[in-house]
Amino acid sequence: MITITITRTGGFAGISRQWTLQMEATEWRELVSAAAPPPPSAPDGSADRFVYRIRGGRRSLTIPDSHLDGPWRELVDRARSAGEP
Amino acid sequence: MALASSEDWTSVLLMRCSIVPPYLLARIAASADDRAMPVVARAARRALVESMPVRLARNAAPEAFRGRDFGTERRDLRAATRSPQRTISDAESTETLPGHVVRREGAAPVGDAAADEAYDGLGATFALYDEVFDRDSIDDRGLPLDATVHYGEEYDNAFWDGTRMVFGDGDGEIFRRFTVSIDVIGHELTHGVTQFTAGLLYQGQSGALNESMSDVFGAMVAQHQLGQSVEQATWLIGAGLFTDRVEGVALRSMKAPGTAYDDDILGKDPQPAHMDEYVDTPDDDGGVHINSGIPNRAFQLAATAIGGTSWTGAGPVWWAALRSATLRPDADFAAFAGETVAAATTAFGQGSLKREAVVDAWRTVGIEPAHPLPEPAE
Ligand SMILES: [Zn+2]
Repeated sequence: MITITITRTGGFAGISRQWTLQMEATEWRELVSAAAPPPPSAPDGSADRFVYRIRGGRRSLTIPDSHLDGPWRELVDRARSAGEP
Repeated sequence: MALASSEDWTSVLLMRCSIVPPYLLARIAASADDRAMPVVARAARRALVESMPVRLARNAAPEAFRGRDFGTERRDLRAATRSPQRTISDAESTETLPGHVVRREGAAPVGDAAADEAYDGLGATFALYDEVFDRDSIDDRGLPLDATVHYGEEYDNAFWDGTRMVFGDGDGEIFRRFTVSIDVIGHELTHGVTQFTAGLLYQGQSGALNESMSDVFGAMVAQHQLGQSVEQATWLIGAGLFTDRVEGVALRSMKAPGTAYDDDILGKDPQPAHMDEYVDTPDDDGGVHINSGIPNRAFQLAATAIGGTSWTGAGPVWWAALRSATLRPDADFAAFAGETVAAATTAFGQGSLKREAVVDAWRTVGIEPAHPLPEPAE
């Protein structure tokens, strides 16, 4: 098992939130290799949007809120429902 | 010369000249009770700001244009035909934009708090830009105001997506719906205005300035709507957004950055009040929502020192700086500070106390205005 750390920064409030979840290392490797890497920056002209940083092992991805979908979306939702205080 | 673009000349020519001296208008605007004399107070506020660009440009106006008033009718016609073109849509807790339309311009309230608050807040923001800064919507060409409410599930945010304003409902435990605070609505619409004027890059210091413009004009929307003087104003951004469970009064304090909340879950308000505490971080586009506390406080200090109301005192100075032809999209705090000093010099005079108030405000937060200052008047 490895620990996946998800950090959400930005947004109108500028308040960072962090969630973690445990995952089988093989599942994480499959996710990273199967999912297309999302564009790292938000669309031009936008403001106050969330940015997600997802870290597991030595891999780290930055995903703008506007492109958080598919397996990454599922991952964030899983971490949030498991990790809400 | 900060105010010599062709756009500014157009607005100068379209501007009505006021026969009441500005200092008197300021006193009327500040002292007229809005409940007892709403028309007087409103007219004075409007005339005061209308008179300001004329004063800013008068010394530099070509001789041929001096004393002529041929722009009056055109300006009245232009202003009289202005109205916001609001369309409020409902995303029904999805993250699909725009959602379905629930209220169009002129339609009656629909009975949904978020939709009606967005409609009213956009109206109040349009009114500030129209009445005070003579701007016709986001692009000064009557761009329709589109907003979406009920975005996402328990969505703790409001944002500008480049074309529309989007408001979440909050999670109900920490955040309430983001339309409850009118300055949040003014904040989001101002992101559009900044996009169409200075185009401040959303990264580092220029990004924090972009954020600060949204807080500054968002605060002015709230103060203008309530008729508050600089002393009466709370200078809070997002008051009412937190639920009762959170230890905090608002998301940000322009008067005392870093003091808006201190909560077990959220931590402490991270905004610095001085350049010495500037936060270097890769998160949040380089801390744009954190370091905005520094220029926010400079505005609050300048507005308070100049006195009266924010939208008649310091507001027009910041507005002139935002639209200055020499303000670059990658401007840092010192460059923007210089633009405000240049605008204050033109508006109030080189040796005036109000210009000194602007310089002092920036120095108090640790910023030395960088713009080459205009030659002293002879
Ligand atoms: Zn913003």
